[in-house]
Amino acid sequence: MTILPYLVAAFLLLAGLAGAVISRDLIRTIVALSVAQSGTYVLLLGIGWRRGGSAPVFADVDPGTRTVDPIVQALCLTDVVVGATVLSLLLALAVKVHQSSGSRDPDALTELGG
Amino acid sequence: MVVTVAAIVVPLGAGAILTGIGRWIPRVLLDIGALAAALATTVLTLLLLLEVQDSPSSRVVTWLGNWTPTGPPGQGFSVGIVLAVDPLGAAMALLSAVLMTLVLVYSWHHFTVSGPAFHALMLLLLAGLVGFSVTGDLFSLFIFFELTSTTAYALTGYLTAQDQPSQGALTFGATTTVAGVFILTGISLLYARTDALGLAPIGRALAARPPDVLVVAAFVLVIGGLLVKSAVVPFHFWTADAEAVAPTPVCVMLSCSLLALASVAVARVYWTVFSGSLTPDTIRGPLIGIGVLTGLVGGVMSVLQHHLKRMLAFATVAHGGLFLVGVGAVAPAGLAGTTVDALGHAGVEGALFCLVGILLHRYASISEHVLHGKGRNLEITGGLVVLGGLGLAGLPPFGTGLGKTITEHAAGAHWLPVIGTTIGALTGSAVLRMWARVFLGVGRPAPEDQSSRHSEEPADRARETGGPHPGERLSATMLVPVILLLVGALVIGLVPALRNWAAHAGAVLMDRPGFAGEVLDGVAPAPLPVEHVEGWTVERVLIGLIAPALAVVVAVAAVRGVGRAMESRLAAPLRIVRGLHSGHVGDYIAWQIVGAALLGGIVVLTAL
Repeated sequence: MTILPYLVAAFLLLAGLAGAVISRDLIRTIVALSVAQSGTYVLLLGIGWRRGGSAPVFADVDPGTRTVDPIVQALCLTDVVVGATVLSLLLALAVKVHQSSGSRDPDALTELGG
Repeated sequence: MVVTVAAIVVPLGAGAILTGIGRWIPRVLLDIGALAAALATTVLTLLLLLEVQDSPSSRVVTWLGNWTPTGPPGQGFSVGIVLAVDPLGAAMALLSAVLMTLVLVYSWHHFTVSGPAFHALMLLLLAGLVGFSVTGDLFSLFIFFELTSTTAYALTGYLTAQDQPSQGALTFGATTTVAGVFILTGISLLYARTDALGLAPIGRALAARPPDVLVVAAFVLVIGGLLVKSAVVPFHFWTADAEAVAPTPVCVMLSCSLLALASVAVARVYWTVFSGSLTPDTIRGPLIGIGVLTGLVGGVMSVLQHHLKRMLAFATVAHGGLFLVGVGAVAPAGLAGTTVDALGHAGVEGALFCLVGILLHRYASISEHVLHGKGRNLEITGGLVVLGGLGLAGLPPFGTGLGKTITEHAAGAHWLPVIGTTIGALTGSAVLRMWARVFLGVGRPAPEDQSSRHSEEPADRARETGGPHPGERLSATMLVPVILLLVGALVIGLVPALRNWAAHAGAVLMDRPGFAGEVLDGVAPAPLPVEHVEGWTVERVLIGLIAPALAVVVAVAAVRGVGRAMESRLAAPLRIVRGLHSGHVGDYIAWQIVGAALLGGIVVLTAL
């Protein structure tokens, strides 16, 4: 067991959030969000890791073999799908914003608020 | 058992089919198909509620694929996924289905540019809302959370030919994505600690040992994520930006269904997962504090708006604060208050959004400034707006008023009725002032809306309804849903059995050992004590009349220009509050992080 994956996960999460907060371009905001999401993938895989465990495929090995946790991989895969949906939708919206207002800088987009 | 699955699968499947064939069939078939699916879901969720009521334990537990738990009592274990419906979950699913049916009827005439995707997205949203209410598994809760989010911001940005909808949807999407990351990180931490994803097994494992930093972190991340959906300070910023630009039917679903469901989910996750580890006292203070602050900020912001959908969105935020106060009361009566208030509010707020939609349909505008005096010949619409405004202020016997008084008494603090009255008076006065200006044409026109730095009304506002229809006769498909919603809000305040049912439903939700035993071991829980909640008394009716009376006074003062004098005197603090709602994605995400950090700090101090 090592602490490294948890540190990497925390770093990705915080770096992604910080990037989204300070971003001056909507595309960059969205990429930063996907970096933050990657942090959760690393966290999940880190949680499921077992020393000496092989891939959780039992086709040609004894069912008692030590493997890494397959559940976190399923969760991770599910969230990759969710993330892809969300990010593509957000990117499409960013393109629309750029088309209609000519800017992708959140500081310049002040149509809403107050 | 079958009913639970069917209530999710029917809207999901119908949504998928309409996505596939929507392009090739005429609009009227789309309307009929979507309406039929929504009606079928309403019937199924009603059957589900009846089944839950019939069950001796007031729960219906379904293990998907029959992966039922094994093991001795007290140590039941399953790798399967469970749907566990309790009365409150079934009621929230039914609320969503009823609202969806009504807004689909409403949009039949109102929403002319719907295209094939609108109906499909609405049905997928409904599937997400039903699933969110009935699941007994934390990861499924996250999946349904994401399903409601994705469809909701696709619907918010539906009118993408305009500039604003894309911006509002993007803000909504970015903040909700951060919320999703929070929730998934919290779920990961809980899985690392307990090796489980179900609400029941996690709750049982956490109760077995004292809380530590990991549990607190998981709590803050999961609850902090859900609070974004229930739109409380400082997680609420997306609400007004999204609802200001969303099509009217979508506003109704966001305000009346999603917000209430998220508040119930906060209660459900706390009671089933964390209550064995973190004592109720740890959440009482933070939730009531956040709720009160949200109510006041929402109320003040609502009064400051002259953009009608933004005004109603902030009124929703204010009332969402009261829902959270009910959850923070950590008692069945508190949840009863939340439930009654949420149902009453759904009727009133849904009706008001639809009425604003009628104005939008007629005059292609939702600005109090532009609409000044335009509604003089719309007596019926105007009358209903007054009724809605008084309902929002909590006039007895509206469900909003009853829910508010139950919540205030359950939460116990003697100063809470003052806060509740203030929230009711502020939000009610905003609607009544709008009525006086738009439908009577009294006073000077409202000032131009400062929330938009560009033109008062985007030139293509009319796109939602296909252009202004000034002389057209009011269509029954638009009026009947409004009347049904208002009648519903009145009925909820008038039926005495409902509040005791809601308190029982709250007690079932809070019964963590009973829930875990029934889900994991299949044993019937110990019977719960019969709940009795006091309803309208003479005293409560009199106190309940204060808020609508104040709302009328404030509205009259505002129309006579007193408000503007007040506004200039309070200019500095008001400018700060308005300035915080900057419409800037980065600002909103920063506030989410600050909010989560503050919540974490408070919980660490009280729990450890």
